[in-house]
Amino acid sequence: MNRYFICTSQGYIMTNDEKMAQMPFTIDDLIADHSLLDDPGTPENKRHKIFFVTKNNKDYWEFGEYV
Amino acid sequence: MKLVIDTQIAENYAAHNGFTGEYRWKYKGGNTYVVDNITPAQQARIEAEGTPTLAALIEDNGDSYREYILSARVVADTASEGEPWETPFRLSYVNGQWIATRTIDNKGEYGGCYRREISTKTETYVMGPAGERLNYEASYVLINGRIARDQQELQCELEMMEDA
Repeated sequence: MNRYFICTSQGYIMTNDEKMAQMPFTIDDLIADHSLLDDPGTPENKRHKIFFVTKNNKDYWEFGEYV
Repeated sequence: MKLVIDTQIAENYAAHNGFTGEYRWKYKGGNTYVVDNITPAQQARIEAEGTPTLAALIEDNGDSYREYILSARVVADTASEGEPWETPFRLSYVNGQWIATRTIDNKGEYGGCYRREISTKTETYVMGPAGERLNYEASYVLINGRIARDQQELQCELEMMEDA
């Protein structure tokens, strides 16, 4: 089971494959579109920004690049 | 009374790319370890026999890194434990294991070596043989009052603070 740590401008999210399987999007979808974390109608200046993602405590995505 | 143990650390600069049989030791400061609540009976035993159990856990006599005890002394609770800018490890014996912990003040009179957003860093580990640090954990309190329980959370907290 892979574990993910998603660092965002509004805190961090710890999740895993099992939890993500119940979500309507994947980790890579989130990376491609950070606003998937936002409620509909969230003003632009309040939207989530993802800073980095780790997979099993190893770098996975940061500074806009997969590691 | 308390037991204060001072150590010296040395690194073999000839072994930075692996040990080759050559030694070029460079002294790199040391640590202080404190055990509180020493009883008179324990004090007598330490003065008679030294601290062989703790010495076996603290001292590391490797080819590239060494830490060895300079002094082990039982002193009054109010006695100095070292220089004011140093933070000793406090040792406690819990469930058959020696636990080392220390909280470094990054904001005190003497400042600190960590990023200014960090207020304190707390380190805890189980003391293994020859200086091995088992189950090492470091947590951080930030100046905004939030807590990071590991390096990953710390990195995220710092990113959030920069973005704010």
